[in-house]
Amino acid sequence: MRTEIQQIVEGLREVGYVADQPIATAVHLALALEKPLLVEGAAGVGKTEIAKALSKWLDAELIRLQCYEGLDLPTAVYEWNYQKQLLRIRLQENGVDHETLEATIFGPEFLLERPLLRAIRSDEPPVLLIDEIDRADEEFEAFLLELLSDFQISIPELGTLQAKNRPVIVLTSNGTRELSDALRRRCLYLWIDYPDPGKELAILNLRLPGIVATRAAEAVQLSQRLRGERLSKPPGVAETIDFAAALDTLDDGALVPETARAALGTLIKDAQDLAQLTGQRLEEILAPRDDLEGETPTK
Amino acid sequence: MITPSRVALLCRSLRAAGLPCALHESTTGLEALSFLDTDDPEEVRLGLRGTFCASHGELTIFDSCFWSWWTEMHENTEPSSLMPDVPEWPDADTIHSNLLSDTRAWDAETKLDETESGQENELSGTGYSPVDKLAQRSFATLAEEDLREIDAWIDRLMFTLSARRSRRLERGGIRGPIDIRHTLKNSTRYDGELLRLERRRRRMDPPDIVTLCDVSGSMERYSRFLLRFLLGCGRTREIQTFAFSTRLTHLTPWLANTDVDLALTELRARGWSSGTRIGDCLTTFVQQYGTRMLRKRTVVIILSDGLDQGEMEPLETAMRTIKKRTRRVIWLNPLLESSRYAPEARGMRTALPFIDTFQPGHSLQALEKLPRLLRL
Repeated sequence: MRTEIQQIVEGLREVGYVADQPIATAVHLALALEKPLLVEGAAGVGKTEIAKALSKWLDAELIRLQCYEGLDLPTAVYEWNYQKQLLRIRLQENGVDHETLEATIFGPEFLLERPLLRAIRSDEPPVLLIDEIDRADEEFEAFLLELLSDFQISIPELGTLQAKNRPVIVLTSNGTRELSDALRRRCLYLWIDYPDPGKELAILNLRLPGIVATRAAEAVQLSQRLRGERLSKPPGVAETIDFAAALDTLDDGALVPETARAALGTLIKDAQDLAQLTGQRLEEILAPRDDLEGETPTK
Repeated sequence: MITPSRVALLCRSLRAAGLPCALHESTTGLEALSFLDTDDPEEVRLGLRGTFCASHGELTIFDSCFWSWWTEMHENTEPSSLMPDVPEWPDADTIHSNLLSDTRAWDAETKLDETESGQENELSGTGYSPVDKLAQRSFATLAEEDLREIDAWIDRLMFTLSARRSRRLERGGIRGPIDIRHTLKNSTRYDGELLRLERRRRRMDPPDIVTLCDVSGSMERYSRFLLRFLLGCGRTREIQTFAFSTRLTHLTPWLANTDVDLALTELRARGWSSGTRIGDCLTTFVQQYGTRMLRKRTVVIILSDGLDQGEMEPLETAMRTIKKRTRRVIWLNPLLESSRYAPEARGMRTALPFIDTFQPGHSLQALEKLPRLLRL
């Protein structure tokens, strides 16, 4: 493994993120090639966390843009502070010549920076997180293309703004709809899967430092097995962490179906899934199996 | 050392495997290599994967192309241990797509009694006479005066489908949030006085509508309704219409010609009312028209009884693509009119997980509910 990639693994671990080789390699290339990183994967596998961890590790500001349908340029890029402009015009109605006035009211003092513009104009290279891009509509996706390929934004009143420092851009998508090929082509692609038991255990130990080893192993085991069930919303890593924490507060004996049932709300967030996991089924899932590898607590 | 020509070779094999791998990708890939340890196959694989792949489905294809490329490249120089542990991607696949495994398992379960139940269904499909069983007139027996009602219904359906408002705002309206930008612009005509407040409202967002209509033999008794439906849909706004039986026909150009009889004769000559190969037809549709017509704003309406003589695999793949790329998939099935009917035919079962609205399409009363359902 190249030392840079090793450094990323270690660096991210220091800030509380367990990156395996696929993730670290993708991050390494995104930084080296200065390309946006498009992260896809099921809910709760730590897509958004990558950006947060990166900003901590790089000691850079995290600028986050949450996407939704109808997200438009005044919310995402910039808006003039019209109220303030109006006041200024009124106050200076007599006395100042038009040119000076115009130069002032379209100056930086009256410009409301929204996340994307802030990322472009930032003095230190920030980490820009464009979260759940699949929720935005096609128009917005098309607008992003200029930013993603050339790191610039065009504003009619100010002209084209080139990024002072290229931001580290992370886009996440839950795959609720297909993204356009144009957008995909401008990014490096990373698919994050549910972690294997070893990685999930490592995450748990990192996030809940005081946790009893067997407790963590039990939580991981149940999560892993539930993902094998046909649930509509399989538990993510965040759910495992909540579950382990819940187990810690509930009981200190071995994991029995009753305890699991009590804390199941932290793992399963869907009524139908919950109904599917009857007491008997849960018992079957919790029953010890010897044909599964890697589920014994190692740490 | 991995030379540019080597990378070009990889690109070629990726293209052959169906990945859209253009000059842009190969230059990025080459650039990426300079930041990677090119002696470590795992690192090269993971790195190049990010540059050459653009979706989860492409990862497995890439991996297989990559390993044969890598082995070939090192065949003479390093004879042994060229294939490190290939990560178990199929495993990841199963976890990822619950739907896939669901439908596959479903298929497997039904495989045993597939022939019986399939045939039984087809028999019951052809055998019953709707007039005897139902109070409502089925489209199988349709009088002229009913056609007017159908037209009115189609208009309502089209209106409901078109009445969706986007969350994106546009200028206009009298109650919405103030559009200060346009208020200011307007104020210039009153010498800077803000006399009129401009507002913003949610923009209308009429979807593109694509109808795919089964015109095979088993659907023939509904064909008058179907034709009426297709014509009616296209009356108020432009929609894309396809007919399929054993192959796919793009009907829109035909329907532009308003002479119904002429169109009907033409269509019959083109194989209307023969067998059904839904999967193949939908696959053709996705391949030929998918990029243009399957978009987030598209609503797909499929009219079919789901009795399929073709393979299930292409049907599943095509339905998944359609579902994933469009806003809503509506399936109108005339067989649903019978209370005994359960979607057990293989084709229908395969398609069911990818359908948003599954409705009977046999009589006016049955169709009456649809516009209301769609208003959600």
